[in-house]
Amino acid sequence: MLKAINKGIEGLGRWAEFSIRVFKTFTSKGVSSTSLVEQMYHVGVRSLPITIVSGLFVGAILAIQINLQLKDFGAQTFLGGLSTSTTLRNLGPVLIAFLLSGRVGAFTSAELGTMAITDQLNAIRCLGMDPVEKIVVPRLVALTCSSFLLLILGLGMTVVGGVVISSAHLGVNPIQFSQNISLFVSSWSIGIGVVKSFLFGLMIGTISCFFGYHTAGGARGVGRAVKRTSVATLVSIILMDFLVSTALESLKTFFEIMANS
Amino acid sequence: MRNNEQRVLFLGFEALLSPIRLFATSCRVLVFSIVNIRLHGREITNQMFESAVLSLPIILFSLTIVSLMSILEFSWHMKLVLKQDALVPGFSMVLMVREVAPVVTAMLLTSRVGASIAAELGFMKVTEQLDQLKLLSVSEVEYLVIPRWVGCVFASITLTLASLVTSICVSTGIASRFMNYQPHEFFNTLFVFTKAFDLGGGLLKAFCFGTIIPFVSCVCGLSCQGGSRGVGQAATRAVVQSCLFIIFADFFLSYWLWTF
Amino acid sequence: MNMLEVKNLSKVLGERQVLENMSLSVQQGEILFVLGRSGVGKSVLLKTIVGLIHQDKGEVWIDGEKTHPERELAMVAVRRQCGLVFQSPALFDSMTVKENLIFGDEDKARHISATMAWLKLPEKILNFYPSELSFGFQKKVSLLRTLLSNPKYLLFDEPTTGLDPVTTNLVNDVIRDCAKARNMGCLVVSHDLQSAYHLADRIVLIDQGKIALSGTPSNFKESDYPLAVAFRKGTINFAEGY
Repeated sequence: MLKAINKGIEGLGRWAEFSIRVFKTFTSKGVSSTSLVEQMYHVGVRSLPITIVSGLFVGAILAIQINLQLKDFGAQTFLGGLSTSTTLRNLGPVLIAFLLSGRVGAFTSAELGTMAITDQLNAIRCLGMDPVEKIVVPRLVALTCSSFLLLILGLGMTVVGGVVISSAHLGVNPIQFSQNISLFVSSWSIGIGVVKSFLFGLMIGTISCFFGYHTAGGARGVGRAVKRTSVATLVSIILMDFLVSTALESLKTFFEIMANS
Repeated sequence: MRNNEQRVLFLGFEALLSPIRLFATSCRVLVFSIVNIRLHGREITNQMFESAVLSLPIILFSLTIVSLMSILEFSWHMKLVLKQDALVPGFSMVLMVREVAPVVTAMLLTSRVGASIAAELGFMKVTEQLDQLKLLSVSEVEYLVIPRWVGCVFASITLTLASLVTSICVSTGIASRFMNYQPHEFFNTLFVFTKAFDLGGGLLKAFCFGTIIPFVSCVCGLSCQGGSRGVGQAATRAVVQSCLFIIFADFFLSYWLWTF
Repeated sequence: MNMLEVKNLSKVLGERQVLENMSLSVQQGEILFVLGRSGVGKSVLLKTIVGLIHQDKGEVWIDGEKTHPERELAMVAVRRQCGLVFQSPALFDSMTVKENLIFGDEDKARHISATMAWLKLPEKILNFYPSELSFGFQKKVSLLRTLLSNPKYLLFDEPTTGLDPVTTNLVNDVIRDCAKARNMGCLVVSHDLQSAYHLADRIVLIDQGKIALSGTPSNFKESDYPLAVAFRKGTINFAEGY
């Protein structure tokens, strides 16, 4: 048990070291725009369908559940506001990030892992270049940016999903649905969703590149890297979700106190 | 171009159908093997241990945080609507039982168990171990798929229950620490809205997710091709497709169980 | 001092002493074959020379200058001088052959056709992806990629393993040309005894992490060292522990 914890902390340290190294390379060398665009296409554009579909369904599921609770009180007028707010602030980013971590995170770590075990990364070193600069940085930047954009898109789709299911099956038409949104969803809530999306994107990017880059041990190793990536991203997404919410809430309280005094 | 689109569509249908086909085969094998039983007991216990016990720490940790979040969020919303948070425990518990516990558990199981099933079977495929199994006339469904199914269903149900217990403990602790509830008072209000039917629905969901994960992952692993690159792709596909199937299944189950 | 020298190299991987006090040298224009059974750390030796693996003890000297594997930037120059041809082709499978070849330095494009003619590679494969080529072609492209950076020393990791006899002969001819016509130092790690007799100026036999035998091919033919005998016969005398 103690050994496992020790190993976990060591892994965390190595991850941080790797991330700092990548970040330093990024700031000093920049990133070539052609490979960035290529990677954006690979991880971003091709993940569009899955993001849209999952966003729609997540929105619909939460609308159904919240509707059930409100119906008992005859408070269905609040449905639009409540479900949109819950989705945007908390569950929406988390669930969509789960799916994205599989789609883009596991994908990248499998790709980098294959490159690592077939000596492709070593070949880059032998050609006198830095694999972090040539391979990791474009992927990480593209991954972070496109996860961020995809998450925002997914959040938008959750609202659409909520509207569709409410008007189709829950007897709340779009006008009623949107009436109360402004009561619940302040720009602060949207801000929370955006900040979370960015941080989730960053976590997915760094973690998948880290595990992919350090893959060893043949085909079995690639499978292991994918598994570790998806577990680590999921846990870190949940943890980040909590930390960001708490931090932003206390920040907000702080601002309010400052404004009042 | 048109050809390509047709191919993509075909592949999509194939992805949708092949887990179902494998499921049907497994059911048939299971039914026949009740007569002519050849269940690999050791494999089954191994898989149960692999997927349930080894996933326990990570799931408990994640669910602690998730339930913490959900109770704080709920109290925030309730204060906005009702200007008080007396109903928070009840509401958050219902959502927990019906939705969050089964889905989050299943997602975590997908990444831990699903990816490793696909990677393991994919590795066996590319190293020709599966062909070897065939030569030894051991059925891959009997030896590989059914143990994983049993293990995963077992894990999904027990871990959902475990995460419910965790979330009750965490919510009680948080409420008495930060929200001025007395623990016993909170405990009483916790189950106001939750009915036995909700728990049953949650567990039915857990069962369905526990079935989806091994079948999708096994199909991805068994159809893996092309060395280490293929193994990586199989694991990735397993995670993505299982997650998607889980979201779909969740939507239809929620709709069917509680809206009708 | 135009030579690649390895001095007292030691490396422990896991619990196993892979290299133990290994010393050898290759001069420009010379072909040195390092023979040994699978898994005795021949690949580790090559990767240590170019700094992909860091040694526990010992030094690597190139043209009279010591290398510093802990300084990643300093190793860039070393790696330009020592081209390593991997055992697996190690081509970037998201790029075409041409993109593979000019990766990192567009200027290399000027030398492509001349070098391709030398390797008897058809020009039309430039626009193929590595996965569309046969294994032999992939290995040749990989060799071509290394040759394009015009190294002084070439390190080959089992260049002929898994190739058909025709391609094997072609690769052997290329190795000889590199050494004799272009005056490069070639360090070939292999267990292909026929190629070694054919090409080598000197042969070094590794046994259990140490150098067991070093000499000309004719020395090797006459040696009565047990592993050398086993290599010649292609059989192993288990009584002696091989």
